[in-house]
Amino acid sequence: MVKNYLKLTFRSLWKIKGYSAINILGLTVGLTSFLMILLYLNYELNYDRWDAELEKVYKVSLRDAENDISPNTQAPLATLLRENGSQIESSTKISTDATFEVPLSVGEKTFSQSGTISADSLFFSVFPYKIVAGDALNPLQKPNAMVISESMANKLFGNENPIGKTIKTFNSFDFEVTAIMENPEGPTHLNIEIVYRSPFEKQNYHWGNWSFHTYVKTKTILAGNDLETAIDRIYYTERLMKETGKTYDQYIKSANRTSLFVDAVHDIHNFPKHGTSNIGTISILLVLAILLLFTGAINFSNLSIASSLRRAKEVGIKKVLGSSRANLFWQFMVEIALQCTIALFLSFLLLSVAIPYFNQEFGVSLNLFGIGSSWSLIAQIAGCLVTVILLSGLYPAVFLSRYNTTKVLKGDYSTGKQGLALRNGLIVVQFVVATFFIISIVVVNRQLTYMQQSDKGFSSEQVLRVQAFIQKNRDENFDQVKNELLRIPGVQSVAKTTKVPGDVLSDTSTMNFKHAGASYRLGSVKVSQDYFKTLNIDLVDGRPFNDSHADQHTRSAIINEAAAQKLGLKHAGGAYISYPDCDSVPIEVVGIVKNFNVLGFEQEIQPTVFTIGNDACVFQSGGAILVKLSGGDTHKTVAGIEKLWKDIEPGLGIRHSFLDENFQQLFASHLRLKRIVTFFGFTAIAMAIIGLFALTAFLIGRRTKEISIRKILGADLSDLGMLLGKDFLRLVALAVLIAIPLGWWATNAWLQGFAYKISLSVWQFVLSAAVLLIVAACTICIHIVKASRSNISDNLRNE
Amino acid sequence: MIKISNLQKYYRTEEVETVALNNLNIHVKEGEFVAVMGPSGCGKSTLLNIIGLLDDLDEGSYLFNEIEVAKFKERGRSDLRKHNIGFVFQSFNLIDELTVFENVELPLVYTNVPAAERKRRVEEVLEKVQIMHRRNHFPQQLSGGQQQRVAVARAVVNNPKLILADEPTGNLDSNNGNEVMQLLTELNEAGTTIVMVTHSEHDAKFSDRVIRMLDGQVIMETATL
Repeated sequence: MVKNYLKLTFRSLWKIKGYSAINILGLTVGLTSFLMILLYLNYELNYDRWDAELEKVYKVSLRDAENDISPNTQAPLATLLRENGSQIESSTKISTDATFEVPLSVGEKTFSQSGTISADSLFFSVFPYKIVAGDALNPLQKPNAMVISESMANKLFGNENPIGKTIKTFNSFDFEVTAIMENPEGPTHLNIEIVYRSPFEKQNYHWGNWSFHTYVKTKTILAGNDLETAIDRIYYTERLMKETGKTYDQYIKSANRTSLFVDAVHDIHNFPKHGTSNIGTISILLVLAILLLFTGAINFSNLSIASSLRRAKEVGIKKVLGSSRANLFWQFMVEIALQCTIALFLSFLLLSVAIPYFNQEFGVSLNLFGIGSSWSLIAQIAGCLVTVILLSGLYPAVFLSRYNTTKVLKGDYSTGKQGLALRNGLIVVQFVVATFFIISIVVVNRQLTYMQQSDKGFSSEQVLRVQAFIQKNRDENFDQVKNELLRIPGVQSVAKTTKVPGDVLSDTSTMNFKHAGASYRLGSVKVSQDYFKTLNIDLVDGRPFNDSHADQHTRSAIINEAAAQKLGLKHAGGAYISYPDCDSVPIEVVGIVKNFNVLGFEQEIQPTVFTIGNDACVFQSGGAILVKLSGGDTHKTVAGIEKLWKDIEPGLGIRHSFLDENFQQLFASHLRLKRIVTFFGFTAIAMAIIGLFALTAFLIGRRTKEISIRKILGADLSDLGMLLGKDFLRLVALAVLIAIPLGWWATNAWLQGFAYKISLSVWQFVLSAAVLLIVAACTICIHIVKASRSNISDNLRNE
Repeated sequence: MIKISNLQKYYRTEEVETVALNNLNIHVKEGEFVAVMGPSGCGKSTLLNIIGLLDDLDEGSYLFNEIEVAKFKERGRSDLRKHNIGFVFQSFNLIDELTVFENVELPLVYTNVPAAERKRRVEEVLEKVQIMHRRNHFPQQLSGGQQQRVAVARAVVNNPKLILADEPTGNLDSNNGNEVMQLLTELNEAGTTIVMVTHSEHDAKFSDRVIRMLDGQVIMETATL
């Protein structure tokens, strides 16, 4: 029986190759998109699951009394928790920025490498990286120990054995390669290639140093809450109880209190307790992919029902010959299952072509048969196939098997109103999806254009961002560096800042400044005298920084408008603020600048205090040097800077980029979303239109005799157009009316993620509706014109 | 074999009720060849559909081999039909996507006959109707007469007790029509009961008895000479 089903299926599909191809292709596109996103989701959910031991590893963060979250913790915290926590097997602290590119040198070769962190000697007792060569027991025992990954070993040493070899960082510090670690099989939030013992470990080991990420490993798998309570109690007892005088149980009842909390390592990437994650984006992508898959399945279902005319006779005959409805139902289900399976196979082929582009776009390593592949993924794909078969095939199979035997044997193949409601409903759903996508494309594009064209409040043109690896060059030696840069022809102005506009990883923390007896959370940025001039930031009131001792040594500050508003200052001059715990160093507000946007458009402009120097209790470093170039030959100027930099930071190379390109990075994820939405959108629209095209062909084809008779009776093209097109266009119009509020809701919700955004206006929706109606009308017109031109006598003779 | 008593059949729409068959009483003995004649719309095809268990009756009784089938559900009718009744249609009603062999094999598939046995019986019946040489062709590659011979082969491959033929020569020329009538006659002589609807007096002469209908009722029954 199954052999018969398959034989008949292939022949039936071959008989109407065109429509079969449309059907299968539509499903293929839908399946490909869905499977791609499914792979991506599996990849993301697989973060930090590359070893079972990671189930016992947690990252420790701190929430302060103002409810601000600090992912950074103090240097001695790891030791404190390990020595006092009975549940804790081990703990470690690591430096906080693995994305920073560290200059390395091996022999004469120098290059910059990200994924480089410093850690204490217990790192590998917490993180289960497999040591494949060298000292596996205590790889970070030696004070100058360095462990590199297998890929790094290949890159630096080729076929040579790296154990015992020397790698230099910042052209200053020699490290011995003591071990090689295996790159984990699976994505990880740490993403490291090199781990080393910091040469400043001893000097940095004090409670005032908040530059570390602390991780603990428990002896057994614990509930997160239990661990949190335990370590919070330890921290309070050892660090805070002396000040408050309360017991822990009394303290935890306080409204505002400092506390520790933990994130299980495998939740950090997707479900962190604080901060952003990618899971929102992936969820959106999954919804879009499901919509696309749904569109393909709807197309399939609709075309199957519409083409049932040619199967009616077959159904009637088979029933006469003894086939039961169940037999017929299963025959059609097998047919549909086969088409869906062909579509799945084709989608695998399409995936293998598309995956490399996806990987490049999203910076991931998806592989159909690699990471994330597991019985779970196979089960998901199988579940997807079954769902698609049911979605696409259940109704058509039931519908087809129900044909009235006596009617079809008389040649009456009409189904009356049977199936009409569902078919129309499916068309409406398809076009709701297509309209929704058009609206999304319009809104996302408009928001992106708005962000790219909006006045940021500063000028990033011709400003070069130069990374100074050596701290002295950013601090005490900065003036010398600045003067040398200014000697280069084409350099107009030089400044420095600890917060570079457009840096993706930027310090967004705030401090409790004091003013007039009250506390205010404001950001703090250390700059140089020419910072505002270099970025062309307008002064609103007061004066810019000058050479005075007060200005140069953190006794004067310039604030932005947002800070002025928060502090209640209408004018600069005469108002004093101070850094937290630094009342003895009053700082006069000498200038107010216009708000300028350094963090992109998702966040409100932070109220910020700008000072020069670290003379007021708070030390801030980092950031970069900004060099404003005048017009003319910028290549020559940049070449001059690169040449100079070899003397300023010998052996470390130079990392530079233009600030406008830097700022564009902030849009990277939105540009990506725009590309995804556009791709999905055009695909969904194409599928809806192709589906409408094929469906219209079938349905108008059935009315050939009627059209011929009407033409004989005097109907012209417009009469036929109204007759044949009005039903379809009514459905599309209904779809548009349903899609508009849905599209408004979804795009409005997305726009809430931006502090600075466009407003949704009616014309955007009218435009989307008009586009779709016009395209649908054109699609239907093709068949109407064809039908109106067909030969009357041929049509009636055939009847 | 067939005993129909007080048969009533209505066709109902929202506004109109039409009486298709009105208080019909028909008996067909086993081995008989009966022709049913009458003008268009008299109900003869409706009668044939009811006899063939393709349609149900609204009132009355239908005994098929002493079994009351009037109240049978679709499943029961399908079972009875596939084991006992063969159909021959005016427009042949072969499945275009199946070859001659596969078309004739289809009833055997539905009665779960094993593959080897199916092959044997199909070949036997194709030989009988002299179409064996075209067994791998598709219906659209055959003439009208050949297609009807295939349809007859399909109708008899399961050795049914009853063959129902609805204007079997309606789409054929006289030569082909005669061939088909000859086949039916041979089947009848071998013991198969045949009920045939026809407009053709010439074809009716092949039967043992003619039932004439008008407006849903039997108006006359005559034995043929």
